[in-house]
Amino acid sequence: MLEVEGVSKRYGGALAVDALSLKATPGRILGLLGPNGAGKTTTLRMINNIAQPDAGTLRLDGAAIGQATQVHTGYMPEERGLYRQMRVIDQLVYLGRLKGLSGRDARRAANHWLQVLEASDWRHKRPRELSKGMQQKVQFALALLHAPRLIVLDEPFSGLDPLASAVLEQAIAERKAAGAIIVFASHRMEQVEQLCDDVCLIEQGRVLISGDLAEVRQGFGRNTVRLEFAGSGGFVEALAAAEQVEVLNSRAGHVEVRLADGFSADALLDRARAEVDALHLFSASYPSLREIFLNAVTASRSQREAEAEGESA
Amino acid sequence: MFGVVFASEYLRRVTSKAFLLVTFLTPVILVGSIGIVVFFVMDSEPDAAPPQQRSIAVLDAGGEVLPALREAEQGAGRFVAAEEALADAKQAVAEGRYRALLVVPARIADGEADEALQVYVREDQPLKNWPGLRRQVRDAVRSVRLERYELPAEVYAIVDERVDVDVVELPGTEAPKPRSNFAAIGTAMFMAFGFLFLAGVYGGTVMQAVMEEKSSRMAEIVLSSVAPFQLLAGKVLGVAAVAATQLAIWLALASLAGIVGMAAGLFDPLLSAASASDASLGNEAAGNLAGGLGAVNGTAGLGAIRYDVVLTAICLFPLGYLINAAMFAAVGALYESPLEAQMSTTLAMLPSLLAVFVAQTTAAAPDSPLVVFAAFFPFTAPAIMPAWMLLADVALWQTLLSISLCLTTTIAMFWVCGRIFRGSLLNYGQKPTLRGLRRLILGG
Repeated sequence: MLEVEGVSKRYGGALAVDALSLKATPGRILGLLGPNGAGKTTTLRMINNIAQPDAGTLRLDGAAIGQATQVHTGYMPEERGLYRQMRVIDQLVYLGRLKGLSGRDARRAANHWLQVLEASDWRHKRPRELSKGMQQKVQFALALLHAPRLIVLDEPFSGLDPLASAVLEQAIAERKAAGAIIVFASHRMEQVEQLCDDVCLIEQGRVLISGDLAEVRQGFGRNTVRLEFAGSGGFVEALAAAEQVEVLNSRAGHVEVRLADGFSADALLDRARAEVDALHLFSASYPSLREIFLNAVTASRSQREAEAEGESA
Repeated sequence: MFGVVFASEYLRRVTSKAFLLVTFLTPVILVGSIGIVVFFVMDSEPDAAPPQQRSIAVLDAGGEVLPALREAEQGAGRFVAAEEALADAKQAVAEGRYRALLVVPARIADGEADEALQVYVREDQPLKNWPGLRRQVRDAVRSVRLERYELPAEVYAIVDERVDVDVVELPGTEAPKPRSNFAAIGTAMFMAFGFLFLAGVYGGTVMQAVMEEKSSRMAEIVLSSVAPFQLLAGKVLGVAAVAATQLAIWLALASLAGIVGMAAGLFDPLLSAASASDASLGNEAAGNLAGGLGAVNGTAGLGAIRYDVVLTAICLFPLGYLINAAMFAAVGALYESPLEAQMSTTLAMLPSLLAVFVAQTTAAAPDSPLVVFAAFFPFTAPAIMPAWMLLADVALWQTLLSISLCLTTTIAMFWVCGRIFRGSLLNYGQKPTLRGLRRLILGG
């Protein structure tokens, strides 16, 4: 298990991470979310022993994170590349050896991962001969080469086409099934919802929301309604003006709204039946992660601004 | 993990095409350049001229000196009997058909000549260009005079025997004078230029090796596997091993070329030219030249190797490399491209440039404050201290102090570089500032 407890990190005068705590368990994927500058990268660097915390503790399976735990972690950072002059196979073997594999084992693992990622033909190519997607697959292999206990992936799918994404998702699922601890940082909420079992939302270096993804969503209530219909959607605008719903997403024949307190899904259904020509879909569900993210961050920022105004007054 | 970085750095570089190209092309270019210089120098010498031009016409009234001259030069054909009268022969010199005209008066072999020997040359080719000519003529006249008396060969051997004069300076009788200047200058310049070469070529290689981690965006992945200090040490020592390999190959090639050249007799003309100039340079200088780059005891001609100097150089030179490499590695960690790092690279080169500057003044003023300072200043000591040891009476404690200062500075530089490395290797797109640098080194 990965345990991060009360970790803080300051760069000069800026507090990047503020008493942050989180847990990631074997066989599950933790989604680390947060707006730009929230402290995600600093947290991931501390988990990988690249940056040292000013306070707090980080432990992997009970052992303090340090040089000894580095061989058990695989990291795919957001700022990533490949050695320009080195062949793909040599890069994999070099990094495998840095992770404690023997030369022979590193080569065997490299060949295995290139095969899994459908990249065996690039073995002797140099990065300049590869597309961005191809390079990304090699970077992914660098992180998983040594079958690490902890896998940390920062935006692993950015820039990948759906086919390549599917290959990587399959590989991640296999490592999860094998009992690896996986931390996945991304801005793509739908991917986090699709892949992650747990989430941790951070803002300004602090945890805003964390826990089992399903429980987090349930905690926000089944107050999100999606409608698909034919005809005029003017009734939705009227309801929004009356502050009975909040429009989350709207386009022709499709609308997603959040119900205000005291306004029920049944009332909305009656109104829709009365107004539209034909109602194709009416679905009441938990809020999306995107919605939770936006609400939580907006609320946190509003609160901080109010506190700042209070202090200045 | 240090070993993996070291091995990767070393193997990647020594198996690269660039390494093979530089290693084997540099000697070719060097030899080619020297060949061109030698060609032009020899072309301007009398020997390189066409036969008629290079000849020295001799009007030998007694007829005895010319054969002696020819015998001494072993049929090289430089001295020929002038077929013209004096006025015409002078005209031939003026027109460039002869390089010079030597007029030997009658009865010179008897020591009763009415006038001195005369050499006519063109104004644009004065006699000083041929330092051996006077000596050759004197020797020829001397041998003719001695042969008159039909002396046994042993007498010639005794007369020709070299007379060595050893000068021993009594300590404390006067201000110490420079000794073994030639060897000391050679040592200082060799060390200083070697230092500059190390800084320029291999320091630059270390910088690029570190920069590569940053510019390729591999730094974060690598640092998740290896400590910054191990990465730094692996890179610096990997490049040092590349340098050692390259130097060893050059040394081997030079030795091979020497052996092949000797076997083929290629160096005979050069060696005879050197021996001729040795005689005119004087014994001490010749001794020092033959003694090589450093450790020659000037008071004893072809003296013994100064092992203390060699040992000091062996201690200081690697430390000098490490200090330089740490500086360049720090520069590499701060920037993403050599273009951005240009100003800082120049700053990192300054100590080795200072060493070259001081090396030039070492022989002229070995006890000047600048030289003494440079012998202890860790950034210049590796180049200056060995030369200073040849020029002045350097106590053992002074040598040890210089080595200790270098060692301490090396450790300090690696500590500072490690701090910069850890702090700046993951800063992309940020220009380093003095304030930022201070924060990286001192924290806060």
